[in-house]
Amino acid sequence: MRFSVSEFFHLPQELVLDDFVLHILGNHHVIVENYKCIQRFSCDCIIIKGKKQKIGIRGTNLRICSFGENEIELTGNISDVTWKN
Amino acid sequence: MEELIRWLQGYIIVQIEGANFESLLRICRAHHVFLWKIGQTEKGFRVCLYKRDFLCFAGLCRKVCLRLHVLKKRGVPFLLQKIYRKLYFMILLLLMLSLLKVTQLHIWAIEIQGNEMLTEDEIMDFMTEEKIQYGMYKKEINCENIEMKMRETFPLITWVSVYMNGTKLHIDLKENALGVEKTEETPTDILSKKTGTITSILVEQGNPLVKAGDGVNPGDILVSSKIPVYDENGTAISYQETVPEATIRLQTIENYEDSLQRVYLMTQFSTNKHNYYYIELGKKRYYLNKLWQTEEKCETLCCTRQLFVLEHLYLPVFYGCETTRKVDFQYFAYTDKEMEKVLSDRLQKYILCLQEKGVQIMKKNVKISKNGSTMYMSGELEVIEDVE
Repeated sequence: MRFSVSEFFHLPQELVLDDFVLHILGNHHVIVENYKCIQRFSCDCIIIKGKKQKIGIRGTNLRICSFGENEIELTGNISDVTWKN
Repeated sequence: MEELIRWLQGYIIVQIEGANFESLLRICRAHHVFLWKIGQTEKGFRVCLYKRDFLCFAGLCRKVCLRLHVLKKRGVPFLLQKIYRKLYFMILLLLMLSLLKVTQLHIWAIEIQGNEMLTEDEIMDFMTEEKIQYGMYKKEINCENIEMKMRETFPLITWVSVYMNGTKLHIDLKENALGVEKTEETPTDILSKKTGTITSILVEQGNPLVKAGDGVNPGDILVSSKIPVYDENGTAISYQETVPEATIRLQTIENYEDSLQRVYLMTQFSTNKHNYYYIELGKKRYYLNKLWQTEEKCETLCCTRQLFVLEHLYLPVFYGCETTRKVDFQYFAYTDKEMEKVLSDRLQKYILCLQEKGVQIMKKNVKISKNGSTMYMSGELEVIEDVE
């Protein structure tokens, strides 16, 4: 329903759907917006919780470049990005 | 660009140890604490945060029971802190250098070398009259003028050099070894000043009017400055003036008198010495280990030195040590024998002085008499001395 409303009124989907926004650059740079909190953080695994889903990012040398209120910037050798409900 | 902004604002790199790091991140987000460069290390997690957020962050760490260690501080605010600490030192250094520069414009020491017959006091009195003293500007001193005036004032000086080196005024001089140059003398007769008998007379210049064995009185002419010029008949037609020079020995009587009081004052010094160290600035003396002035009578010996830098840069700062020892005055009384001995010793000293001057002692006839608490020694000495 929300999806239809956003499409009909041409509104930004991330605001209406209240979901993650991911920007991935290769396998070494990820920007995650609209998250709720970080559930787990280590150098080989980061789990970020959103309103409905979680994202699991696996790799090596994972680091958080910046940690703000609205977005997280991650770097490292990313091998896996998974969504969990 | 972001790095530059962060450096301008100042940031801190910290190490977090413990579990529940994710809780810390959640709380930081809720408290609007911005973090960056978060990475896992062997001991825990390394985080960068702004200086302004540090106090809040430290409180949050305590809440979630995490240990916090500050690793590095970067940025302009920390740099300024370092500079402020060094700023005081820089200001002090600048102050000292400017003070040193100002003191260099003045003369703080005067050294006189080469004087043997002229005393330093005489030369310093001359300097005072010429208004040259410690602490005056170097520009006000005219070395050539001083040299000229010194040569005019002191005939003993044959050569003088006045120059400045650092903050010291040097006066190097050379004196006439023969003494004051003799000016042309007006011819005057050699007169006798005492009553006596001529024992010997040797005339180099002049006309002798006495011979050995003659008795003379004060005022008698011994050698005349007028040498008669005779004609063919032996009549003196004129007189030639000359400066008489002669060696005349006269036997005369020298009166001697001396007295001594029975009671005399003797100073007794205490063996306890106290050393007081001081610093002198201008005319004021500041003691380092002396709290009050003693009212007791004491003898004081001061050893003062002037502070100087780099050999020739003398400063208006003096330091030294004052050695004080207590003095006690006591009255003692001589016995008769002691009084006689003292008077005899004095007579012997007087005779030795006369002998050093070339006076020959032929006979001495002295008597000791007593009047109450005073003993007197009086008499005559028969001497042979040079007539001057």
